[in-house]
Amino acid sequence: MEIVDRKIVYDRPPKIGIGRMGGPYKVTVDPDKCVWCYTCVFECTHNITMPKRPFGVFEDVDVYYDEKKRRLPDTARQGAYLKQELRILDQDCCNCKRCVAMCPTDAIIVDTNPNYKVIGTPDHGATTIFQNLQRSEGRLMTSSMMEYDQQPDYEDFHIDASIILNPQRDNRNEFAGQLGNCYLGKRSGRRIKVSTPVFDAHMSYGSNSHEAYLARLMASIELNRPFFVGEGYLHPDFASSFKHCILQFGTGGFGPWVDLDQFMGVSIKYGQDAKKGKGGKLPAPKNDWEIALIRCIEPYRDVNSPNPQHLQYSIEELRMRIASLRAALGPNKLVGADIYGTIWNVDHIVVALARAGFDYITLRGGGGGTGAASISDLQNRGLNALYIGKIAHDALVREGLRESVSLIGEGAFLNPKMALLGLMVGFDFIGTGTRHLIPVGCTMCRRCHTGQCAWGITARPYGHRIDPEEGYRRIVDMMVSWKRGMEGLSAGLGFTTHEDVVGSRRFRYHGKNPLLFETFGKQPF
Amino acid sequence: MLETAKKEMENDPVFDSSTPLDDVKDLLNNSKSLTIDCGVTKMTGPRLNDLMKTARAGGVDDFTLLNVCGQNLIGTGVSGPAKIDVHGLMGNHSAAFIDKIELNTYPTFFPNQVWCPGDAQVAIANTSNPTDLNIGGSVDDLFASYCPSGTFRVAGQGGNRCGLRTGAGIPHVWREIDYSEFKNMTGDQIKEDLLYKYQLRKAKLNSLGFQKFLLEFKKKIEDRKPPVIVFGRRVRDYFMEYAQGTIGVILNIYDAPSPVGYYICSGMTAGRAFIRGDVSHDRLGSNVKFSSMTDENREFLDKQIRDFYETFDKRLTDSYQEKLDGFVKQLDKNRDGTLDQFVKIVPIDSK
Repeated sequence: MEIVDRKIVYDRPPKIGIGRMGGPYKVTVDPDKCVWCYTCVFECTHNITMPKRPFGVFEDVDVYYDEKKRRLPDTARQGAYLKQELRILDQDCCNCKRCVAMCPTDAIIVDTNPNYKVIGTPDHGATTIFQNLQRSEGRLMTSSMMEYDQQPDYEDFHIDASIILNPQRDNRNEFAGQLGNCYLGKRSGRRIKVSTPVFDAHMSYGSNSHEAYLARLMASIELNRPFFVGEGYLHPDFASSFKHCILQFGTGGFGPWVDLDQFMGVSIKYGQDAKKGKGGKLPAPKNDWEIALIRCIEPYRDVNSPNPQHLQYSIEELRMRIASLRAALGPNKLVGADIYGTIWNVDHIVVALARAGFDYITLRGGGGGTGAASISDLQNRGLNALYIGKIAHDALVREGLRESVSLIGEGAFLNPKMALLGLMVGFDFIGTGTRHLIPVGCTMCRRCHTGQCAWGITARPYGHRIDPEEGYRRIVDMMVSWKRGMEGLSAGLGFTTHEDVVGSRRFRYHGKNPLLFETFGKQPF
Repeated sequence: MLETAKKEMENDPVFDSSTPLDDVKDLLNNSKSLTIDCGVTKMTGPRLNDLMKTARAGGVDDFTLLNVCGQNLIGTGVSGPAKIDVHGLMGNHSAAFIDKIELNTYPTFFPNQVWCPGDAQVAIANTSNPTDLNIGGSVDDLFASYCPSGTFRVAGQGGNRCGLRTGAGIPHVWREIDYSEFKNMTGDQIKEDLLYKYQLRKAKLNSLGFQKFLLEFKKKIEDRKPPVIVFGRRVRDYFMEYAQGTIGVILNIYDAPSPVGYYICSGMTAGRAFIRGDVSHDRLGSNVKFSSMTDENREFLDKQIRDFYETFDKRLTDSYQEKLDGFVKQLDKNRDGTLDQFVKIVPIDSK
């Protein structure tokens, strides 16, 4: 068979007017490097604007001809002559970089689309214009992870460098800055020893593929820390690890809820940063037979989590709820509360929860991500996690409750420095979600909610693209590196152990955020 | 108290609020059944819970609780299979998280001759998997909420949000896990076990493909039984809200003109509710509709009514018995006519 022609064709979106603007990213393939292996066609899974199309961004079009150069039917797979076309329709590209990573000849380049990005005014730019344009097409405005415009402000925080008053120490050559000996829970008989101050945040089985979940679970076992399960419960194949797992009960309450004494504890979810106390919705196609088995629900039906009600969302029921969970779990297990921390009365809430008897409280600050939420919710991301950490810590100290409950902070702790700042404002532990997905392939393309994750993290059918063994080792190495980074800073401040760091406030903020400046910039600590 | 129950209790050891926990095993003397006198308000819920769990560890599987007046945590953490008979009023959050337990409540006379109905308070049996849970009275809000499986019968009325987000039954795989083999595993051994099971999964997945692989799980959930919740009289608002596979029945044996409150079955995406009496459209929640009864539904209702009768026959007040007898006689006399008095409510996308 003779190949008579090969072409790379850049398609335009089949729309009219402003709809032809395309997507935010531009995909180009170098024809000199391309070897026509079609790996990109196989690897790309993203087609959210045209879900019935059997291709993602890339489409292979092979046309066969007979000896007389007459075109053969599309079903033909053989002929005398062949014309090959690689068609690229990049309106659905989300910059996940799967094609770039898998291309054997580095022929693909994904970059921002200037025609899409350079539009509007600084205050009313591409994001605003195109989000409203998508709304005008009747699109369901759901997204994943963080909002585009979110700016990390960690560079505006500086830790204390007062080497005269507090001599610096070296964690590599002396016992200094050690963060490997911490306890979750503070009440007698209910303290779990953990070896790292950074946790993997609650995520549901089903929101992650089996492979991604397994990698995260094994990493938490290796790192000797609890594994926080989401509301989707756990797969029965993971039964041997249940004693390392803390279940989560929100408004959904999915799962069989049997043999609870086998688990490390239960968190009661009162809200999360991106969805603010609302229940989630699992769309019917994602609720497959396996998910139905785990969650004990009917398969292939929409699964709605109820709105908050008085089973656990009233002050009267708090103590009874905890008492019944303790009675079910056993006396030495942990019961925690996960709350949305951007409420203005966070101090009162934290004190009420501590008095009710929770062993730990997870505060989710603004800036954190989620697997799926409406864009409006993501835009209402609320207050800085460090700010609410300070408020919560101070309130508990004021009420004499700080030594009865652990605090976990979550919400855009992007690096070890931010995590250490979190400990210094008063959190005992820091939780991160997205950072644990990066070692298994996450490139923050924000398509978790579509079920089309090309890396197989949030799309169960593509889970086989992850090697859980490699993934867990990468997560462990990343967390060890985080811990070392935090320990270096901690030793630099002259600290010895985890207890020294928590609530020490040895930093200042000098950025533009007035709330943070008032709190950490000029106020006496 | 029923005479049969009295007879059964004659040889039981009897514990009360003064029984020391440390002596429970000695005092039991290998007895499989135990009577605990709660002394109306003398015993607290946590104390009763500790006593029951200690006795269960000592081999007791048949509990009779006397003079119960609002004690909570009844049954929670008591490992099944076991049977618990409660004489009196069961307190808030009792029977939460119970598993493989049969629990019955009965009306009683307290020692001072004050009559106490066999009622139960708020959030009873939430997130539980009882074999049978029969309330010989009425219940308040959130009864049987979040229950994955079990049969629940309430002789009287229900409060708001009964049957909230109940499930579709527990697949047998959850009952077949043997935790004893994992008990002493180290972290490395657990990881090895997880990876081994993953390799088995991967091999199957590779040979079947993802969609066929999922069908393997279909086989595993086909034989599960959804929870069934039956009320003798009526319920208030939000009955079976967000239910995902449960079957609810309101018998309305007192022929109340409004057997249910408002917003019933709101957000229900699987399962069905059968309600006897007039239910107007404005009582329904969102995303549900009326549907026609099938012969299979009639068979199901017939069985549920007869089981309900057997459970509460001669157990409650004379006036209740009269209504119950009358209802079953009506069923015997005109089966189809009686069953046609039920309306069926299903999710809006059900066929």
